[in-house]
Amino acid sequence: MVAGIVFREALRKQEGVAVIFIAAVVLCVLLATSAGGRPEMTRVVAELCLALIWAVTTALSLFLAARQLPDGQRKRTLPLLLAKPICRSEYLWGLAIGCALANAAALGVCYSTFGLGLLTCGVGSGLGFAQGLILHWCALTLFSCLAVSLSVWRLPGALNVGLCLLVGLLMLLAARPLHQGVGAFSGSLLETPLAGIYYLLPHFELLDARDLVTGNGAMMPLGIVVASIAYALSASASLLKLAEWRFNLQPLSSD
Amino acid sequence: MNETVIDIKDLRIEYGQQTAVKNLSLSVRRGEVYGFVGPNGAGKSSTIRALLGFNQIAGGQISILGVDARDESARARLGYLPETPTYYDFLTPVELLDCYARLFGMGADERRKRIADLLDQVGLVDHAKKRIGKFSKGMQQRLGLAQAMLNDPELLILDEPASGLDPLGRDEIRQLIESMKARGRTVFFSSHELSEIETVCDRVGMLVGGELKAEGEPGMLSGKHGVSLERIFISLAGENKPEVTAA
Repeated sequence: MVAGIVFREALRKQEGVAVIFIAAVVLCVLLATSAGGRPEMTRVVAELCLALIWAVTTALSLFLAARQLPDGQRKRTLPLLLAKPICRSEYLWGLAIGCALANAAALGVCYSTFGLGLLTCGVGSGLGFAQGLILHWCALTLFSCLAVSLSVWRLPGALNVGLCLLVGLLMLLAARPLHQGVGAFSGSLLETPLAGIYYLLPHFELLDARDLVTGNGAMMPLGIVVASIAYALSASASLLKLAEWRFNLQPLSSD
Repeated sequence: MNETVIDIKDLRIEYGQQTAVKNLSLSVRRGEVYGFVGPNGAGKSSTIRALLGFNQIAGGQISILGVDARDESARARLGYLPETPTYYDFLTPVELLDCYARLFGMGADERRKRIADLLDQVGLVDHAKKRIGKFSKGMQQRLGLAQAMLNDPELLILDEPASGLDPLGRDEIRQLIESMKARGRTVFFSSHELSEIETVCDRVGMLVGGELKAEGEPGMLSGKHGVSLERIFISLAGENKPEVTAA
């Protein structure tokens, strides 16, 4: 129910317009590039378009998630909702699910036009594309859960989004050296703590996902994709459980 | 008729070092209309928030229809109308009421019928597909009535329902309270409008400085003190008021 409200908000407010605009821009750019008939140029443009989709959908997903709880308090929609038979935990999980659905819709629109553009350029692989899309959705869902959780600590929306972007960036940057570190210290005392940190960070291999989508790299084994999804879901659930505990302790203003 | 719908025992609400409500005890029986009056900052809204399970309480117990107020099953049987109800402005009234009705576990057919009936009752049928963001204050208040009545509540909690409304809006609130009373439902409402309290309430509780200073039937309270309800209110509120001196 709460998820439905969040999803409708994303469709009807600025997010919906922004996604359609970006999708249209990506399609136009790719079609124009394919008309040029230079494969190396097409590949560069495709990667730039993918980077644009990453940046825009990340920003939209974080802003949507970060504003839900503060807006509910500020606009006083929250007390009216919580006066119905719904517990606070259900509300928080509803927010997260709504954001995940909105992310899926945004990615669906953007990747559809992007895929269509790639097809006209003769680039990309079908299953790898789908794998990249799934990993991207997992990453955005995790970021949304992080933003929803941080909003429970009553951070202002902009600070919350900034913090999420910073954390996300650090995670993405830290993932690769940590991965290399685990390999380099294999068999030593440092291997276990490094591996612990590596798996504790909800990282995603952004570059690998990019290669999957644009058809530059080999497909990922199915087991790894499943593990990534499980990892994203469990990390999201952990963040929400922590937020749930905090939210249940907070008084709620009704006026 | 004698079943207790609201039972508050030794309620204590604190915000940091400040005590908003001090050992408040009161009970409201089934079918009763209970008026909760008091000056600003008396602790009325804090008490209502506690009734709805919004506040952590520092002490005491609150039960609604025999269930702890913090339990969500208590909220399944009550309706609530805040002073200024606000909604998701991007939804239509039908969508909003449908979302709320789902929380009450209503089936699809029941929801459709109930929502159509309520929108008809509050005169919003012609605006059913319009976004709430485009509604006037009066229309929003009427939507507030519809959402409060969605589950045909056994207990209706109204927080300053007539505040800021025109006479027509006030009349609609009064009609709502009277129709609830006629159907044997319980109403608990806070108000500054003492004339309204005297007209519709079976009993009145006067809260001053977080303490229940007077309670009883409006006529009995006036008769006992030999003055109007308004005089009693002013006198009790005045005892707690900080002194104001001319410079």
